[in-house]
Amino acid sequence: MGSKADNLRRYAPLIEDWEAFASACRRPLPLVVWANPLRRNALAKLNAADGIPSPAGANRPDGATGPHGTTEAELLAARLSARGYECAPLGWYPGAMKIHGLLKPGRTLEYLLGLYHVQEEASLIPSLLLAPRPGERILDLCAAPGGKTAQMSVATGCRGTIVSNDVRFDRLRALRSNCERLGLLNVAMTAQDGTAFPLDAGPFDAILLDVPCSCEGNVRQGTGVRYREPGEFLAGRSGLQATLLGRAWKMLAPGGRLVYATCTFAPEENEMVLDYSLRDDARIEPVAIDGLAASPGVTEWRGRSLRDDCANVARYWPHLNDTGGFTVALVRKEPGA
Amino acid sequence: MNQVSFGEIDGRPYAEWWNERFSPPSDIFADKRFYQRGRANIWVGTADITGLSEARMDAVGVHLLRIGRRIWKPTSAAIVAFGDLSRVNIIELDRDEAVLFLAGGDIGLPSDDPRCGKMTRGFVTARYYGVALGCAEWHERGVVRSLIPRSQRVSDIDL
Repeated sequence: MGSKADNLRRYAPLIEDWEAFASACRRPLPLVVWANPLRRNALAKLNAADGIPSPAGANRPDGATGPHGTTEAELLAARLSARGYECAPLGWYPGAMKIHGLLKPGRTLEYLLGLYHVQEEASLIPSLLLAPRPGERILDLCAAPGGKTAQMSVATGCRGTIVSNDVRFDRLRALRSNCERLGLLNVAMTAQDGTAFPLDAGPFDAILLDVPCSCEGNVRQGTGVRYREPGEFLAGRSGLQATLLGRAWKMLAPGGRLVYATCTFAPEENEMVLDYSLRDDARIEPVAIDGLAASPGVTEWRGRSLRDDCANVARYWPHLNDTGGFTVALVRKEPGA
Repeated sequence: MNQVSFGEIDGRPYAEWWNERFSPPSDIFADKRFYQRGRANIWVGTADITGLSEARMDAVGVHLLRIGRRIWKPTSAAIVAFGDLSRVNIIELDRDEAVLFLAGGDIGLPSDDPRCGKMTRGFVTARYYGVALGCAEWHERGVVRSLIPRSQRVSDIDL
């Protein structure tokens, strides 16, 4: 058996620097957490009790400040640094940081009390691109274990409603425990088959569709990747993905946004699903995140031409930003649809 | 899965119970909605659950109270969410006690411990430096019992 990347050789035509990609696939992922703004006061109290000085002065970009004028991320970084862990903020995502040396991030007081959430860096992208606003009605159709739901809930300041759904009961338990731990008051959790989600629940202003996929982008996590022979592809998920997208589209309000995301590289599960499912009332919009590199989507794959706006799909390959892999499309529904 | 539907309810009796037991600032539930699942479970949050009756709802916001028995019981999740603001029926734990509490252990209090005078029998907010850790039960027999759910207990946590 070759290296992990050899199993992904079919994507070589899409990757400019294969050696960099193969090298990234061999490295383990760094631990990334984000500080919970809903628990900023608790963080400040614990830091004060332990005599951890707050870094002074820095304010949030939006002008809001926490106790002593510091953000929850600064409070968390000060706390973890005082305990001997090295913290490096992610430049592109406010509140998130890489942490070195923390071996069991799920067994700390800070985790139990919902002061932070552990989430792979690339998986922070879809919720950021959906840009949820306070007061909106939002659907996360394949939500467990709930990191993206949590990002959206704190981004809305718990104002509005996030319907967070997953069909699998075991994964729903993880979703529920994460939402309760983080204190997310505006999340309603449902246990529906996403392909049959009741249309009465809509319309939604925004929908996050992080579909089940072949998880090739998790190649650095050491689990979750289905190894296959080079060049072979198992396309079994594409039908489910298209059905989920079709259902979600029916529930999206005119003018609404939908983010379609997978943690996989296969065009069969990304651009080809979008090409098959979307009609004239949909437009894949260009996206860009400051400080995060992406490759364009594909408009032709294995001899088949796809919609032109598939070029606006963003492909976050592991070597571009030293993350896991994600492929994300921001789709807008025509206002008159 | 047990499918019992949720409905939005008038939350005043439950807000009143909470306010009476823990005396937080009176506006603690001011902008919140209350929901009931089945006979025994009260939830609190801000979500609008209109149109979700056919969607097999499993949870909404934070599970606040169990009211199925004669005595109503707050959940540990609710205590963590709202207990920082409790002003009565609080037990402040020291470091060793907090470690024991989070592992699900009972804490013995000698009768002359000044903290005993700050609690009446029943459910109390267990805190560590003012930060709520979870729900405890005070028996007035010198024991504070940890009610952290079994699945969330952590032994030998490093504080």
